[in-house]
Parts: sequence; structure tokens; C-alpha cells
Amino acid sequence: MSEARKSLYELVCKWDEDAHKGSSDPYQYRRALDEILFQADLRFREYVQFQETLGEFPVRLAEWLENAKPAIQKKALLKLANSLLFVDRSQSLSLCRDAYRRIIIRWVSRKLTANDLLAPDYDSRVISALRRYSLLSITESFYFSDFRSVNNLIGLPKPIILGEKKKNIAPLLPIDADIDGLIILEDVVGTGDQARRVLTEVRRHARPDWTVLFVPLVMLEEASSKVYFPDWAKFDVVPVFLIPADDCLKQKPSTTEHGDFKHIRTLVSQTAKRVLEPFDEHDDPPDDPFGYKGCGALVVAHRNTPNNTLPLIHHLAPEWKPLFRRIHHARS
Amino acid sequence: MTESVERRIHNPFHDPLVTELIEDPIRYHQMFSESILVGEALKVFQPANVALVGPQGSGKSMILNLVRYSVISKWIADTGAPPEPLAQLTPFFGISVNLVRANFHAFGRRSVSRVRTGELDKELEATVAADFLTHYLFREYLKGLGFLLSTDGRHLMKWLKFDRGKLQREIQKMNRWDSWFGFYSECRSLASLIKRCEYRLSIWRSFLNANIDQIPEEVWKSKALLEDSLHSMGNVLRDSGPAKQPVSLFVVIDQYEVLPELNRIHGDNLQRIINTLIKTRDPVAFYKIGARTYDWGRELRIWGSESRVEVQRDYATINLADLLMRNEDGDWLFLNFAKDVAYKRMKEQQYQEAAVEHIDEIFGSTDPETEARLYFGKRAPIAIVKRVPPRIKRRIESLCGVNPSPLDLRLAEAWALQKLQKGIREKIIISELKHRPWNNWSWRKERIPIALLQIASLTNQKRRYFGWKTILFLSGANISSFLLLCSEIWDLATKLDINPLEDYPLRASVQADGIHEASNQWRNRDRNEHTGGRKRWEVLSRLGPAIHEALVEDLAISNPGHSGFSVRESEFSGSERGERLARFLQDAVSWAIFEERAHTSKQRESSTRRKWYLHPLLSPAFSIPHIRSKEPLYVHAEQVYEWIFEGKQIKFRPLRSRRLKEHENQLTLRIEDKEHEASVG
Amino acid sequence: MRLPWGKLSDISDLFLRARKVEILGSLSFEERCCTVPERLFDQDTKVTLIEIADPPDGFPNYEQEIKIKIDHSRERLETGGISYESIQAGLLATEDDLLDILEGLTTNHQAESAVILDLTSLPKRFFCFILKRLLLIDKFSDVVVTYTEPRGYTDEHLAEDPMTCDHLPGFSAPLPPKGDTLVISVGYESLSIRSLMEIYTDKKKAIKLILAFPSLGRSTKRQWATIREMGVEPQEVRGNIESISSWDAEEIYRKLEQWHGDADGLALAPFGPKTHSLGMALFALKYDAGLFYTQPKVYHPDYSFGEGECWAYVVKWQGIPCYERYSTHL
Repeated sequence: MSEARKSLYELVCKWDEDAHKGSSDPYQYRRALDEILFQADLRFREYVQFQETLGEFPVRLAEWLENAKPAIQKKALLKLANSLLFVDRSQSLSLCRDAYRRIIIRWVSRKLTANDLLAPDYDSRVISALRRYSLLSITESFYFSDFRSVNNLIGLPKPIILGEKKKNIAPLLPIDADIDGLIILEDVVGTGDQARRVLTEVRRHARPDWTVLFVPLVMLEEASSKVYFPDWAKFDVVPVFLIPADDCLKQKPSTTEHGDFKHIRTLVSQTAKRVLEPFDEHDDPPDDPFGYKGCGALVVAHRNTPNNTLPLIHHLAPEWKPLFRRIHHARS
Repeated sequence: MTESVERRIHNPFHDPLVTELIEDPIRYHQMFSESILVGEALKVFQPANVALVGPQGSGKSMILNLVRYSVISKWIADTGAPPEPLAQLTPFFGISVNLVRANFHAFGRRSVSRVRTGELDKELEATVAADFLTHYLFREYLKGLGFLLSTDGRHLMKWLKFDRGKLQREIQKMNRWDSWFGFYSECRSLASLIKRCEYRLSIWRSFLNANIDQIPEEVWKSKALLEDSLHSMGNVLRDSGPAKQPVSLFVVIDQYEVLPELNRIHGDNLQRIINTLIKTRDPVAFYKIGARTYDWGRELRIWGSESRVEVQRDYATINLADLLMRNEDGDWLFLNFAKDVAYKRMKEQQYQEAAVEHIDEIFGSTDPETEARLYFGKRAPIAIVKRVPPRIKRRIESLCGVNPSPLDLRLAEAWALQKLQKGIREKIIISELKHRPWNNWSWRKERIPIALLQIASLTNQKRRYFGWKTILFLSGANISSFLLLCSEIWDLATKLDINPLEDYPLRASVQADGIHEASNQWRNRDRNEHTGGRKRWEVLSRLGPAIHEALVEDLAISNPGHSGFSVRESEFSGSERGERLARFLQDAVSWAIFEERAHTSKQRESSTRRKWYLHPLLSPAFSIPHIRSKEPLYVHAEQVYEWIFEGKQIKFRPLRSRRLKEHENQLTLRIEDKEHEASVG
Repeated sequence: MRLPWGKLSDISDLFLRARKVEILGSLSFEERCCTVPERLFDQDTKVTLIEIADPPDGFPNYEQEIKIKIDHSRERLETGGISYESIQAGLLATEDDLLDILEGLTTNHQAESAVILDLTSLPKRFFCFILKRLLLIDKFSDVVVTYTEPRGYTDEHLAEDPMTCDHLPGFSAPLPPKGDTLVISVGYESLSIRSLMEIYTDKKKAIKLILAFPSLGRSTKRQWATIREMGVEPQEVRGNIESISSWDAEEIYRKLEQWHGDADGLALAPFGPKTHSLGMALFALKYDAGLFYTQPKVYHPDYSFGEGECWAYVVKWQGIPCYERYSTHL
């Protein structure tokens, strides 16, 4: 590992030295690396996938930079690494906690009074209100055990996983249950397409008296228009954490995006062929170098990297090593 | 964990301030350097009132910490005796108070007098503050006595040569001291005294915190007399120990200087309370105040009178910066001090290598020739001489030989430019060149630092700083800056998987980068620093580049000393602007941004002058020389005021200066070959 | 501890319906200072707004820009028909100054009114002290704290020219100081936080950091930048960083309670969002902890822009402070 750090520092020191005089920060690359390795020592080590096989972060970073040959591309990769939004375990738990405390409780407690809110057994009153709703999630990637433990909801049944297949959704809905509605959870919503498909089916088959709440923990801003149903009066969607469009690196530049995106965009295009190549016959590689449906997300969660994130961050290809390799479904 | 990562994590120089060092007696003993306990510094440990002043980070707290009973007790327990320099001194018993942590600074912000009488009475506010301080110090004192009587305190007891029985009898009498007005009369033991004292302190705290609106009468009616109480505490120590070596009470007072900042109405008065203690010249209780250079002396009046504490008479001032700075005889305390601190730190991290004892070898040596050649690597420095007429250029190049020294080339050209500026004819200059006048020892020595700067600039590179002596000079005799330099170099070396204790001397490039990083940190430190740091940072951001520009543009190196400025002292007094400027400059010195010296003017004038330079550690960040030579820039206070407070563009050159010819003023020269290789050795 | 909180609209419906209210807030250069008065004002509402001036020796000097913005806020309220009493105060108001501000409120308070303390643009040294007094004085039976988010913050330094570390008025640490853990709620500015460690280190303190997450906008990156500026090494804080939602003052309190149990006392440094500072202040009141801060003397005139959601926290109801209410936290 020390070799990896050494080579990284030798590289950035050389870049700094070669940079023109008059640069506002004569150590910009070293600082960027310091920042990344600080985060690595503190948080990136929590990344779960392929921890044993792919080595520690400095090794992965060194190999990742080696994917690119020209210095300008390597620098773009370094800047990209520094632009990532890494959601660590503590933050992930905070999202679950916030989902419950700020959004779900408020939603299910609409009938509670001021006295209920002040009561010593307020928490159990809330749980009683919560039990009037069935919990569901769109995919199995939502970590319900975290949600349950951080909110002290032990005993709450696991959510029903709706899945991607439309025809499976209707039978899963608890039509005959004595409930007031549904709470649908999800970890990450990217384009919103999948969520919209699922929610549309739910709407078709939900009881008319039900109220439905959709709570994605993380959602890209571009999904907003797709997951809102203005004509569905009993439906609410409240994302816990919304990632602004300007924080996504899309194929088409925006006027308000970060200054470094321009170089990274060029890199994404230049390396697309290598990055998207299938690793083996089992691999189901991404088909868009800007992430699923071109989302351009720069998000890495400690459990996995979502497919909305740029593939050059997460996809292992014959001629490309990822930084945070993603576990995804193989071709079946 | 790999060794590289471990070494990085255990950077022995990390956290130059090392606050935990100050508080933890165990670590303190491991890391404190006795080499600083010489000369005047020993007064801190003698029965005298002392103001120990120095810039931020110069080590004041480190010295004063040794006064505290817990710290010196640990020292004695570990080694059997106090530090060797203190061996001949009379033992002492030291307590301390951090005035902010104690909440002393908050007195008056919630007014007792207004609550009781409806009107603000500053004297009454000071009285209650004094009462609080008295009891706070009493509590610290009682805790100290408790420690002394415990098993842990046996070493200290032995050093003090106290009679345990006598001490315990004295403690029994404490509750009846007149100065308490009966407040402790029911207390029969040390524990009960402490408890009662803490009750009283909690009452004051509750009032200041607005938890309660009234002071209980038993507290109000028994407000203590500060000087009397401290005197009584001192007497107990005297009476408990041998008559021939009477033990004194030492009281270390910390955060004195922030009182006016944190308490804008009563802060001065609170300082006057402390001053009163000093003025008393109590024969049994002595006060040791640590303060930044100019933070002591702004308020010298005592409480209740216009009388002032007087230096030499009431207290002694020890200027730590002066103590550590190099003097004319080449006797430099800081050198040994820094080496010893570095050694102790590395030992504390359990590094065993031989290099631990030879930190100077880790950084190696430096010389101007070596440095100058580094900027060119294997390439010949042919492009240096460009601003003199072709004949002079050829003459210089031929005199400098086949493998010319870049330094010689630059200095020779500078010499020639100086002559040209004076109007001397080319022919005469060419003739004089044959004597190689740039080698004149004093002329050359004064100009080398700037020549190196100009060479770096001409080759579009940062100046390379390296070598043990360089590090010492850049430290400016400030231990915090020294540790910062070592820390950054160490950090970078280990990132590059270089073991500083085995692969030495460290590569010049590693040292240079580490030094630049340290310099940038020192430069940006004030950005978020308290007490006016933002303004200092802003001034630095303009002044540093202005000095750099002036020096680099001075290709004739006519004014090698113009890395600082000199002002007549008389210009600071008698006007609001002058006083405001004086205060700013004093604060900059206190915060180790500027250095200040008396200046013996070369001009014929009757008034005295002072000169200021940026702290040496700022030199790399602004690419200015860290070694001063010759005369600084002479300016008027008004001019400096305009620079600092009116945002006027800083032109750091004499008011009337000749302009060099256009082609002599080029700032940079690009080396045509873009694959310049820097051989760093 | 039971702190009902949520959107102002919800809390208002539940707790303030048909109640008279007295609003105490700030007339500030931030447009969001007007939000709560506008939302809650009616003919029976008494509004008191404190206009706070930066000290004259603050640097840089934004006096002119700030004055213009305060005038805009004033105009906006007046155009909206909102009458209010204005109190002038200096940023470095002492405990006495703060008590004077409260005196009028206390004297004129009507028992049937609920007090709305709007933290939105009140500096911490103001709102923490005022909050304390409102909780301790029996005359104030019902107190709701409000906070309006902005749409965003300036990319420039939000606040500058910090003073030496000091306790917030009303929140000095106990003597002797208790505990060996320093909890820092991280904000966008490091503000000489190292002086905090110099003043308040009786012995080596463990450091715990609280990050606001999720939060508004791009705050996460700025908070990490602040942590880097503090000079802490990863190994010093690994495992000691807690992420808590920006709005959840109650969770802040609960987390502090948990750490308090392990550490025999905490020292607190509220450098983060005001809602986190609220949680810290409530904890400090219950457990007699010190709150430490390096007060900036200057705030950027473009500190924030726009108005987002309004949040409300029922800190006292029917005479019972929230930290004296016990819930069966499962």
C-alpha cells in the first residue's frame, strides 16, 4: 500500500511542479490528493463491495489513474475523485433516521393532536399510527434493517419488495388489509423511470381510500418531474436528500455546472469504449458512459455504487479498473 | 498498517501547538527542553513577578507550565530532582489560573451593581471580580495542598522540605483567616474548604449565567480581600518549610491579554486587578504572566488608582524572542533549543535511529552555489545575462568561464547594472569587470539572497529552500514555526515513502516543498485567526507581493535590504493615525507576522527608528529573502498607514527612484527548452 | 425529552391555532428574517425585532451593504402591514444588554400568548441566551422556536474576523470543568476553532464531531473542508463523527445525552446549523454544560439568499421545558 501512496504523491508533486507559475494554488494537485486520501482514511474504507479482492483505496486510486495515459486525463480522474459524493454509513443511517422522523412520522401523524405529541408515550402512539400503513420498497437494495434499527422500530415487519416487473406488483399489494395506505421506500432514484413505472402500477391497483407516500432516501433532481403525480391527490413524494442537477455530469454541459466538469466530460467520452466493454460473458455492462439513462450521478454509497453513477467509477472492464466497483445483476 | 503510514501518523512534529503537551505532566516531562532554562528565563522560577512576553508560538506557555505543582512534581518523581537549571534555585509551589476558563473575564458583563443598586458601579464590579479570583485561586491552592499531602505528592513534599505536621496545622487555621470574613468558619478539613469554595464559585457562575438574580447575603457580605488572601496563602508555605529556604507561592496567570477583547467594558479593569497583585510586591506570593509581545504593557494601572506597575521595580519583563534570537557573538540559544525539542519529540514517539540525535544531518547543509545550479539542472545558465549591453554581456560570460555559476552571472550583471545606473561608461565598466568585483565579500554576501530569488524567478520556478540552517533561519527563533517546518517536511517525506531517519539528508525538493507548504500555512493562518487576524491576513496579502515585486525588479540589486521598512518612532505618537498604526504593527509582531528591531539609521537624524520585516517563515510564500541585509526601505508612518488602512497600492521602493531601462525590468525569462530538468540531488 | 417539531404550518395548526403570539426575531440583512412575522402576523400579534450591528472594528467592513439590505427588510415588513417594535443592539451584547432586551418582553408579556422565538437571523449569542431565559422564567408558559431555511448560502466566507474563544452568554462551563469530551457541531467556517482547544483543554479531550446530513444544498463538501481546516487527523476522529439531519434538534439532544453518559460530561461547540445549536443549547441547559464559540465580528451581507421551509420546535409548553418531558423512547 505504501508503494501506491508513494507513486500517487510522486505523480501529483510532479504535476504541481510542472504547473505554470502564477497558479493561484501551487499545490493544487497535492491538495486534491490529500483531500481524497483524508476521505479514504476516514470514510472510503467503509465501502463494502469487493473489499477483500480489490485492495485498499490508495491502491485502487493508483490503478484507476493508470487507466488513463495522458497526464491531462489522469488529472481529470483525480478531479473526478474529488468531486464524488460518498455517502458513508453514518450518513446512510442519518438518511434513514431523517426519512422516518422528518417525513414519515409527520405523514402518519396527521391525525395526532398536540397532546399526543407531548405525551410520554408519544413514540408508541406514532408506531400505532405507523402500523396503519404497509411498508414497501421498490427494489431489494433498500436496507430495511438499518432503517429499523436506527429508528428503534424493532418488530416492524420487513417491507414488501415490489420489484421491477409490472405484473408482479398488483398481487403484492395488501388490498384486503385493514390499513390506511402505503409507505414506499427506496434507497436511490436516478432518472425516476423505474420508480414511475412501479408507482403507476401501484396507483392502478391501490384502493381508492389509501394514501400513499413515496420516500426515496436519495433522488436526483431530474427524477422530480417523473415521480410526481399531480393528479393523484392521495399521493405524496418526499425525497430525503435531493441531488441538484448541477451536481450531475451529463453529456450536455450546463451553464451552472462545476468548472471541472468540462475536462471530466471529455475524459468520459474518450474512455467510453473501454469502460463499457463487457468484462466477461456474465457481465451486463452499462450502455451509457454517463450512467444509466445518462444520469451523470457522482454518488457512491458505502454499500454499493448506484448504476446512475458514471460507469468509469464503478465498472470493471478488460481494460478498465474501477475506483468503487459496483455489484450489479449479471446477465441471466 | 505499513511502516510508511505509521510514520506518517506518528509525525513527531505534528500539531506544533501540542496543547495536550501543556496540560499533561507526563508528556510534558518527555518533551520539554531544559535548554531554554538559561539566563533571564530562570527568573520565571525565582521569587519575582515576571511578565514573560513573546510572539505567538514562541514557547511561553511551555516554560510557565513548569511552574505548576503537578508538572514539576511529575518531573521530580521521574528523575529524582527538578530540571538541572533549577537545582540551585529555591523550591516553589506553583498554581495557575486560565482567566477565560475560570470565567474571570465575564465579570461585569452581567452587572452586580445594577441588580443591587440599579446603577452601574465599576468599582463594585471589580470588587466582586476580585473576590471571585481570590476564591478561585484559593481553590487551586487547596487542591495543590491536597496533592502535596497525598501519596502522589511525596516527591514534591520532599523537594519543598515541608514539615507535614506544620502544613496540616496551617491548613486547620485557614478557615479563620480574617480575609474570609467568616465564610469558611464551619470548615474543618481540606475537603470541606474545597467544597465550600466551590459553592461560592458556583454562586458567581450562576449569577453571571443569569441562572440566579441575587447573590446570597453570606457570599455578598464576605467578599474577600485579594492581596490579603494571597499573602496568607504564601505565608502558609513559608511557615511549612525550612526558614533558610522559604518556599514562595507562584501564581501563573494565563489569558491576561484577552480580557479587554472579551469584556469590552470591564476588561481593562479586570487587568488592573491583576496589576494590583503585582504592585503589592508581596514577599511571599509572586505572579507570572505570559502574554504576547505587545499584549503586556497596554494597561499598567492598578485597580482603584492611576498608579502603575513599574518594570524592574514591581516586575521583570523577559522577552522570549530576544532571548532566543541570535546575538552578535553568534551565540544562539534557539539553535540548541530547537535541536533539543526535535530530539525529545522523536524520542517521545519512540524513534530509536541514530539520526534522532542529529536532526541537522536529516536536513543537511545548503550553499548558494548548489542552490543556484539546481534551477538549471544540467543545462547551462546562459540566458541569465540579458539586460546589459552586448559587450558587457560578453565580458561577463567570458570572465565566468566555461561552466559558469548562475550566481556569478547574476551578480556580475547586477554589479554592471548598478554602474550603468550611475552613468558610468561601458568602457570603464568592462575594464573594472576584470577584477571580478562581484566577488567582493560583503557586496556579494548582501546580495546573494536576492540573486537566488531572481534566478528562481527568471527560470519560472519557486525558490528552493533546504538545509538545516535554512530551517533555523526560517523559524525566526519561534519554536512553533520550527515545528511546523519539520512537520510538513516529515509529512511529505513519508508520503513519498522516504524514511527521514534513514534516507538523509532529505532531498532538496522534498524539503523545499515541505517548507513552501509550511510557509503557506503560516501565511494563511491569520485568515481565520482571532483578534484581528483577518485584517493582518489582508495586509500580508498585499504587502508580501509588493515586497517581492520590488526586489525581483531590482535587477541591479541596489537595495538588497528592501525586504523591510523603517519608520521614525516619533511618527507614531501624537496622532490617532500614528497610534492606530503602532497598534497594528505591535499586534503583527505579537502574532509572529512581523519581526521588529531597533534601527540605527544611516541618515543623519536625531530621532530613533524602528524597522519591520515579515516573519522569515513568510519568505517562501512571498518569494522574498529570509536573510536581511543592509538598509531597509525608509518610509513615513503616514505612508504605511495608507498602505494598511486605506488600501493604497503598495509600491515598495524609495519615493524617488530611478527607473531602469525597459529591457532591464523584465520580470521573468522563459527558458526555451520546455523539458527543463530539475536535478534535485 | 420530548420536543415536538416539524414544519411551521403543521406545528402552528396543532399548537398555535387561535392563540395569540408574541414574536421575537431579528430585523436583518437576510430576507428570510421576514418570513415568520409574515406567516404568523395578525392584528393581535406583537412583534419585536432586534436590529443587530456588527462592531465597528470588524473587518472587512460591510456596514453600507448591510444597511441597504436591512432597509429592504424593513420596507418589506412595512409594505406587508406588519407592525413591530424595533430594538437596537450591538453584536457583542453583554449578558446585561440581553437581559435589557428581554425585560420589556417579560414585563409586557401576556399570559395567554405563546412566544415565538425566531432563530432565523439571530446570532447564537443572542438566541441561546434568550432561549434560556424564556425556558427558565415561569411567566413564559408556551415557547415555540422557529427557523426559516434559506434557498442557499453564499460561496464566500459566511462570517469572518473571529474573536478569542469564549462561552456563549449564559452558558459558561461548570467549575471545575466536567468531562473530557469536546463535541463540535461542524459548520462552514472553522473560525479559529483551534483557539477553542487552547482555552478549553484541561486534559486531552476526545473530540466528537457532528455533521449536518442530510442538509441543504452542497453543505457536505463545505463541512468536510472545515474539518480539514481544523487540522484533525483521520485517526483522531474516525468513529467519532456522527451525521444528524440538519433539522433534527431533538436528535442532537438525544445523541448528546448518549455521549454524556459515556463521558461524564461534555463541552459543546455549536459551529454548525442553528437547529443543531438549538439542540446543544437545550442539552446544555439540562445538563449544565458549557457552550463555546469563537464569535465572528463580521457577517457577509450575502450570507444567504431566498427563503425555504419554515421549521418550528415546541421547546416549552404549559410551563414545561421540553427537556423535562420524558418520552418512552423505544
